Amino acid sequence: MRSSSFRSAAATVVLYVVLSLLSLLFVFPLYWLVVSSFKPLSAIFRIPFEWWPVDWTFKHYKDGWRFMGSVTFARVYLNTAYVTIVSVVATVFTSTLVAFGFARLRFFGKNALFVALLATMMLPTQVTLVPTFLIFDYLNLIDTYAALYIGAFFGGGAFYIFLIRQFIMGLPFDLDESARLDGASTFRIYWSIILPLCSPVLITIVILSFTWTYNDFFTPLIFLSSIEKFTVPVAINTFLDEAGTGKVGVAIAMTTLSVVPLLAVFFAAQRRFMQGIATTGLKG
Amino acid sequence: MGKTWKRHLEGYLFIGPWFIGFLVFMLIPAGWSLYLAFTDFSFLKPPVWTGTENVRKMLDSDVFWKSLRITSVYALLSVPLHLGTALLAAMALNVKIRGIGFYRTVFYLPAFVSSSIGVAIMWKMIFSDSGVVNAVLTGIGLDRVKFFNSPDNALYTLVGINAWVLGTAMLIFLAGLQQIPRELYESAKVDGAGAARRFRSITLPLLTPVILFNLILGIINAMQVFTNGFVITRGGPAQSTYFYVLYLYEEAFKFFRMGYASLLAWVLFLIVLLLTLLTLRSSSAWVFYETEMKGGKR
Repeated sequence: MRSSSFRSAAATVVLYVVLSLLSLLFVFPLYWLVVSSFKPLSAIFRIPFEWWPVDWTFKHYKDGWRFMGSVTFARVYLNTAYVTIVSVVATVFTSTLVAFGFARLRFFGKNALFVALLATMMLPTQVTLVPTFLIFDYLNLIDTYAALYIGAFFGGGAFYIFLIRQFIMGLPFDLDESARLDGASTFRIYWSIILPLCSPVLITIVILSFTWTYNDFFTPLIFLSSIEKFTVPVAINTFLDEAGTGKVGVAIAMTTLSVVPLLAVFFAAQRRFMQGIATTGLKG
Repeated sequence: MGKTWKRHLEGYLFIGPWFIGFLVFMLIPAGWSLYLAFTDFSFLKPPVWTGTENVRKMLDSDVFWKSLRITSVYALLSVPLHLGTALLAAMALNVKIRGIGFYRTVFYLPAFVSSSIGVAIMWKMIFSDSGVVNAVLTGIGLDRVKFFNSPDNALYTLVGINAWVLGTAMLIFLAGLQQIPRELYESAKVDGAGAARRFRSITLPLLTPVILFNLILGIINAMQVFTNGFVITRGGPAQSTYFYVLYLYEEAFKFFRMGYASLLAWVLFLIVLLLTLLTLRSSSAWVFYETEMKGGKR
């Protein structure tokens, strides 16, 4: 008895060691990035690695902040914040509206349309790319912020609608029935009863659509041309193109700036978000 | 009569945002690009119908086959590596010990940030010729390795760094593992089954539905790989990482051969669809559903 409990204690210690070593592997690249951004150039690739900067410098950030002449990184952040906030708010509103329709209402062709919705998840964005470019050109959306967030006003994405619809299907139908008997309109049932109950899945949707919009590189790459409208991903990509290899320190600082908002959101919301992701594979 | 009419209208008002978007930004563009696929179209002049000319050009193009081969090799290597590491990580995290939530968070972190191109740039610097990894290698007396700067290595380096982002697949595996009843393991232990045997006879079969889900997602993602090839290697060196979507992007927005690019997009869709259907079709041979267990099948 004693030897087996000793063995299981030893196994637990080994497990902790293995998990900690692996954690290091997952965190180290990001840690390296952030720490290096505060080191002088000569120290960035020095071996042995300086776990904590010996000489602190903020030069890379100062140089990088005004990296495209008059366009500062503050402008890039503001652009990104504007596009992201509009996208997330519009996504939450329209995707829940559509999901409610699919989960609770009965109308002609509902099942066929739901299958169509699922099918669009299979369609690679590249298939619609060229005509979308032509349509945006016709609507004068090329080189506007609207090109980046317009999709959010049309349901925000099939996957989000699907997730919310699955969630609403799990809510008791009696709620709707009794509200309807009390004379509530369909919109009121959606707005005052179902939507408030959806908050667990909405947290997942907010975070998914935030990271998607914030990281979206392909859309601005194709639709934006003015530097002063650039969002974070296209801005740092352009910067790297122009800076070449000589400005490693500045590149590291700008890259850190691009990752920090993501890390902040992750640590603020990780617990509830991870539960949301884990269940997506099992329903459906 | 009037009432049902109102009910249908109400339904369409709710799904209206998606339905309009579906028509204007999905159905019409998809049909349009199917038409463009058989035209010569450069954006400046109206499209000219050329029949199967684009198809012939594509089949004769070395670059087409090359990019398709590179993408397939990438998918063939990175999907199993990705799934394998994700499953191992999920099994390591499927224990009840103090602080396990912290480890789960840390393991998932890369997946959360990975779609940022900042992370692509980070890898570019870490594995550059004078980067951290090479500094360590020379520090312990080994030769420098050209991770991204050699046509022999670049593709494999991209496969390797993709294993870092195992988080999403890992969480889905973890949820699957937690659904396997403990008693199965207990009774197998009583019957004298070792750890390897328990893994092979309990864990793996009961996890196959989740493996199928992750496999299909993995194939779809891998065939559409773009960002790392674009940001880190620009398709090079010597086109060794010239992925299919990179090829498609350059045909459309660098050379403005938009008709031809539309054909490439449709071919990609057909390939992904075919791979998904084949995977689903094969699943009846290896995916084990719980309902079968009740029927008495082992």
